[in-house]
Formats: sequence, structure tokens, C-alpha cells
Amino acid sequence: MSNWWPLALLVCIPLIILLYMLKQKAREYPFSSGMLWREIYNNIEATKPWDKLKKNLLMILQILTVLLLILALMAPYLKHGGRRYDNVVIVIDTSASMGIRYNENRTRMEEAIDRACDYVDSLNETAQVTILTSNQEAGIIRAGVTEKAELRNALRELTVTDLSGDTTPAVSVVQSMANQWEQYDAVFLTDTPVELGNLQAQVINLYSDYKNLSMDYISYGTEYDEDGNASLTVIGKITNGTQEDVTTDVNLYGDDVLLMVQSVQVPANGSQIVYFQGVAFDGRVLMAEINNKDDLDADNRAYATQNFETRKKALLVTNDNMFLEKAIVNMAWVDLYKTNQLSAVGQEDAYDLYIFDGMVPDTLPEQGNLIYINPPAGGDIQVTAPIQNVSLVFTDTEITKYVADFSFGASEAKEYERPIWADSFISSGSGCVGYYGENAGRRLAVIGFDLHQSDLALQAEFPILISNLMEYMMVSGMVSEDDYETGDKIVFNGVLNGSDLTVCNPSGEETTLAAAVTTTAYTDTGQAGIYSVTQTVDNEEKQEWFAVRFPVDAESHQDGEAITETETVGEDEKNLTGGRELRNLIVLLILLALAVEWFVYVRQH
Amino acid sequence: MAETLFDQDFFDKLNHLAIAMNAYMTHGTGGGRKSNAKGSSVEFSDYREYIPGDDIRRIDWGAYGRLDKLYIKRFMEEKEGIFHIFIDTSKSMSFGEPPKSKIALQLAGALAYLILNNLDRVYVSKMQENTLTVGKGRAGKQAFRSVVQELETIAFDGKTNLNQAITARRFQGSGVSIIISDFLDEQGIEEAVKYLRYKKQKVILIQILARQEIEIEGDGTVNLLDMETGEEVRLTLNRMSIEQYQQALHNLRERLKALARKYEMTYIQMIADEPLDKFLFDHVCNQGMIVRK
Repeated sequence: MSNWWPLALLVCIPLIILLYMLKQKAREYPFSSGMLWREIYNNIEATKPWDKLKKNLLMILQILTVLLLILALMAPYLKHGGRRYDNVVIVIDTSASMGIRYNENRTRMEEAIDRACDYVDSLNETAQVTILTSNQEAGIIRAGVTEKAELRNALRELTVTDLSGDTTPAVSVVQSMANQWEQYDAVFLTDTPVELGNLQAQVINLYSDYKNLSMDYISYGTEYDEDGNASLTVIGKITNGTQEDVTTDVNLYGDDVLLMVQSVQVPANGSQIVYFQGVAFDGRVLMAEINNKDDLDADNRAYATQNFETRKKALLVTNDNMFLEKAIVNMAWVDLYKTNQLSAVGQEDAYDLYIFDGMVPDTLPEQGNLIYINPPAGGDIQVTAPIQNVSLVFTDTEITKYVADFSFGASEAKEYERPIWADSFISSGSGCVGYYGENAGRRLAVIGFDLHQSDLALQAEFPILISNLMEYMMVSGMVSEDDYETGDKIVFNGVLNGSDLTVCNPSGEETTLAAAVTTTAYTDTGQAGIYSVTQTVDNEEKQEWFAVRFPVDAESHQDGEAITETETVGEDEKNLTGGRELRNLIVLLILLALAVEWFVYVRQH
Repeated sequence: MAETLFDQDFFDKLNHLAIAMNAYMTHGTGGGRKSNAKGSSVEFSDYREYIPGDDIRRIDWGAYGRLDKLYIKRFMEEKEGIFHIFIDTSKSMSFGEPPKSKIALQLAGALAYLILNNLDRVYVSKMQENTLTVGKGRAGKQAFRSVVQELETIAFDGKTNLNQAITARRFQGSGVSIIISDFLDEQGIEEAVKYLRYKKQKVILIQILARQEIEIEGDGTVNLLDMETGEEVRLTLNRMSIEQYQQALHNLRERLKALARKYEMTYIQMIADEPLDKFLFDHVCNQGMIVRK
């Protein structure tokens, strides 16, 4: 029983009896002889006890109805094999793989929600239920709610995200909640293994065998023919998670217009690259889609965005540095300008990047990123110690991708005091010889030796470093990368004196971020697809697009055997319901009693 | 009262009826009915040899001439039938619409008319409480008016004890006893019936019931007032109790029928709103009490 107060209503029963006694106000009924009627009375007394009851059947039925009503109000609860819980936590996995078809009619997510609703229905009225979602992180949807309708609504509103799954945060949250409770029940509805640790919980394994092809990614490059006309070459990767070879068509769309179709055969449990060559497209968004229907729809598309203001201008201020010049000129997207006059800096022409080789201007240009090579000490650059004949090494950073840990020699170099906003990328072992970072909306890198005094420029790693450095420096748009995965945190490079940034996700929902979002990241990347970011600078609206990929590696191709083996240990998959509310049953009985009462009344009259 | 109910057409019909008696009269003055006693009527019955002391006027001299023996001619002696009509005059008989009392008196009048028309003698007795008021024995068609007058004076009141009332009657010889009552008497009637049969009476039980006693109407809790005793019975009228009452009434009729079979009586039930002439023609004739001449 969940409530005891309805027992007070038992007072209604004497009232009913009293009303029946009052109701029986008899009228005079003259009759020839009472002989036969007295005989009936004798018969009644002589008959069986239950025949006596027939006389007051209506009253008995009404008392029965009141008793049932009281019982219903007391919210009785039938336990079978379970316990009554004061606190219950339901964790629903909302990671992308929950969108996989569970059976012909529903996805794993729909199955999970149905089972959770059934479980909620089976709980006692006083159970306080908390609903959590689990994907990359744990989210609290409802906390300590007893109202079952609200819980059911909350469960029904849950949707699958495109995020990868990790139940660890959810386990931590449940564990911390459980520590406050004497007794509780926790239920995980998921298709991935759950490391429960010391947590007492039920894990409902919703893994199901499935067949899935995934469009892992697409990328493109621009090619120019002899006449200078540009066309795109698009490549994409398709992975087949089934046990048999699959042939499928892949459609390439440009801004939602079908551009090209390729047929591709993907080997069982393997991948295949698909090429689209000579694609004439000058729009924004490229999308490749697998034509075949499979058990997970969300990973059948991959996106790429094309940014057109890709050509960047760089000004190299140097007396003579052939190595550097050649390394930069090789990059087709950079228009390199060269001068040996510091006076040329700060003129009308604005550059995306200024490279000062061995010299520093008195006045820095107002905009544009900066690379200093072997700068003299002064200004913001603090030299701690000059060093000679040293072996330098690239540390593992963003701009030393592919060349990390490479070491080279230098006859002369300087060690710097690294600013707090910067990271060191060249180390002498004892100090920082090169650093990079972003300060006040401007990117800056310092290399603490003359390239001529080093063998670095002769190494194959040199152009790679320069390429990385240029890519880092040349980001002038709001989006620094064009390839994100769902759940990534994105930091936009907004113009400081521009308007707030407006980010629009694939569903069209907009989020506004402050312009100086160097620290505040955009985190609402739960959906795979094309996002846009907009900022107004000097009354001019700038808009950029970027793609967020589906987490194919984590979610598209689960290892079914590993999951089912993990889940079968000590888990009772089906026995979720710990009991059954009897209220509905009792209400049915009340209706039945009323129907019988009506029948008896009609029959007696 | 009775005169207004019995119109000329009805009397004409009654004139064509006679009361058939299974029992032969052995007592009483000469009447229009055959008797087992051999007497002086003109209707020949049998011969027997003369024995001294016989009335020599009855010797068949023709037979003596042919056979040379004295034979006495025997004739059926015709006797008048003796009819007793017992009317239950308790208060319960005044129940119903039309009242049972009215129909009981009409029935008694009609039967008396038939009896007198057949040159038989009729006694109309009324039973009230445990006493019996016996009317004068009347014979002859001209006595019908006085019978009607006697019936008109009967008032229905109080209780009845049929057994005590009937056993108070002193009978001389056999006859026919017709008891008109609702038989709603807790003492029953068996004692009276045994007495009547002992007194060589052919017994006819006519039970009159009001339509309202057979088909109960109304519902809810009532104080049922016994008209005879004034006792109240508190009960709930509903489908079930009404069915039980009807079953009890049925049982009463079955008991009376069984009693009738046991003592070779005739039992007839009449409902008060039934047309009297139809009842007399259909039921009484069919029961063998009245036949056409």
C-alpha cells in the first residue's frame, strides 16, 4: 500500500447502511391476508445463508464498491520478485548506436523507452524516479519525480543523438546519487558495455544484430585544367559492417542537388574508397549518401564544406631567406609577397600573415597574424639566454604534427621566456626556443634561431613544419577547422569588435555566442550535419559553414560478441518490472460492481 | 344486489342447467332427483319376489298370470337434493377490485338459483370467526327471492376459522356442500373436509381470488396490513419477494388440489374479475358439477 489515509473513508460504510435503513420508509399496503407473506418469511429463514444476502444485494454491492474505491485510493502494489524502492534511477543510452533498428518495427531507443515506461508503471507510487541520459556525458532529465505521467512524457521526449557513447560518466553520477540513499534501484538501458564497478544496478542489454554500411567521410580537392577551369575531385570512404559483400550506389549532392552517382562494392567487414572526379560544383556543401537502406540511417551521409575565400595573403619581410620562400610558395593557396623594407609594413595593403625574419617593426600592423624568426630581443619578446651549438627538438603540439620529436642542430639560438598564453614547440632541452599561441585575437609564433644557422631547412621535415605553421596562422575565418565530430567543442574565431556569433545547427536551432569566444566553446554538436556560424562585422554579415561528422568509428560498427558476452554476466535481461500497480485492476472491478448493481436493480424492479 | 346482476338472459341460460349429483339422495322428502331408495315413483327400476308384508298394491299381476309367481314391481323413488352453500364472510373476502365478496355472493346466488330450479333444497350458511350462521332450508323456484334477500344482508368482517365453522353444522343425510372461500386460513380446511365426507357430503371447494392477489403490483418496502387480523408484515416488494409470494400461492392451490383428490372433492378456482356466466358454463360444467338437461 502506498497510502493509508483512504482508510478514513471507511466511515462511509456505516453511512450507506444508515441510508439504507432510512431509505426503507415503508408505506401501508393493505392486503387480504398476510398468511402467504408470513410463509415467505419463514421460507427465507429456512433457506441458505447466501439467499438471505440476496435481499440486501444492492447494499452489499454498494459497500463492496466503496471498499474497492478505498482500496484503489490506497494504491496497492503487488510485488513479485522485486522490492519497493524509494529511489530509482533510469539511465537511457542516447548515443548514436541506439538509433539502430532493434527489430522490424522499432529502434533500440524506442525499445528502451518502452521498457523504461513499463518499468515506471510497475513502480510503487511513492518511488522517486530520476531519469538520466548517457552519451558522451550524463544528462539529468528528471530528478526525484514521483508523477508517473510526467516521467512517461519525459521518457517519450527522449531522442537519439549522433554522439558517441560512454557510460562511465553516467555510472559516476548514479554512484554519487546512490551514496545518499539507503536503498535504490538503478537501471541502465543501453547497447554498450557498462562498467558498474561497485554500483548495484540492472543493465538491460538492447544490443541487437544488425546490418550497417557507413559513409565514413568525404574530402575533396580542386584541380585546374589547362584553361584554368576548376573542378573538384571528391573521395569518400564506405565501411561495410556486415558479413557479406555489398554493392551500393553512392550519391553525391552539392547543395542538395544530385551531382553524380557511383556504384561501389564494399567487401564484408571492410572498407572501400569511392572517387568522384571532375565534379563541377561551386556551391557550399557537398554530401555523399549511401543509397542502400540499412539498420542505422544516421551514418549513411557524410558532408564537406567548401570555403572559397581560401587564398590567403602573406608578407615575408626578410633580407634573404630562400628556404622559407620556397617552402611557402609551394603552398598553392598562399599568395606570398616579399619585401626587405620594414617600412612596407602597415601600408594600405592588409595581409593575413606577416613573417618577420630577423627583424621586428617598431609598429605592428593592426590586423594579421605574426611569425617572428630569430627576432631581436625587445618588446614583448623576452630572451632569457642565447645558446650555441645546441640540438633542438620539436615538441608534440598542434603545429608539429608529423614532425614531433624531430631533432636538428643549430649553431646559435635563443631561449625565450614563454608567455602564459603560448605553447612551446621547439625545445633545447633546458628552455623554450620557439613558441606559438593566440593573444588578443591575434596568432603569433616565434622561432628562436636563424634558419641559416641550422640544418633544419635542409630536412624533409622543414616544409611540413612550415605548412603546419601556415595553416595555423592563415586561419582568418571564424571556423578554424572544417572537420569536426559530434560532441566536439568548437571555439570560433570571431572578430572582437563584431556582433555576437550565431550558430545554426542542422535542425535550424540557433545559439548565440559572445564575440570574444576564445574560451567559451560551442558544445551543442550532438547532431551530425552542416552547421553555420554568422557574425556581422562593420555592417557586413559573414557566414561560414562547417561539417560535423557522425562518430562512425565508435557507433556504426559495434562488436556484438563482446557486448553480449559482457552483458550476460549476472544480468537479468527481461525481469525489469519489480511489481504491478493494482489500481487499474481495482478500477475495473469497481466498474464491474457498478454494472452488477445496475443489473440487479433493473432485475429487482 | 344479485337481482341487478342476473339479467333475464342469464336466467334463461341457467334454466338449461341442472345440478348433476353423483351421490344419490337417500333422505329427505320427495323431490325431482333419483334416489337409491325404491319408492313410489312412476319410474320402473326392478322386480323382486313377493315376501309377506310387502304392499300388495305393487304386485305385478300380469307376471303372476304368466309365471304363476308373485312379483313385486320396484320403482325409483325420486328425492330432493340437499345443497349446503357455505360462504366465507371474513374481512379478507372484501379485498380486491371487484371485491371477492361480491363475486362470492353472485356465485352463491347463481348456484342457489340452479339448485332451486332443479327442485332441490338449498341452505345458505355464512362462516365468520369460528361460528356458522345457517340460513333456512329453501326449496322451490319461488324461494329464490328470499335467498337473494338473505345474501344481501351478509356483511364481510372479522376472521374465519373454516374448520370450526363447518364442523359446527349438523347434517341429516347426505348432500352436496359447496364451500366458497379464498381459503386463506392458516388452520387449513382438512378437518372440515373430513367431517363433511364423514357426513356423506359431496364437497365442492370454490376458491375465489382477487386479481390483485395473483398479480402483485408495487415495489419498495411496505407495511403489509393483514385485513383480517390487522397484523403488519414489513417487507420489501421486489421481483424476488413477489416471485416467492406467487410460489406460495401456487403451493396453496396445489395443497387444495391434493386435498380434493384425497377426499374425492371438486376444487375450482375462480378469479374475481372473471365473468360469472362464463365461469359457470366453462368451469363448473367441465368439473362435472353442472350438466345440461
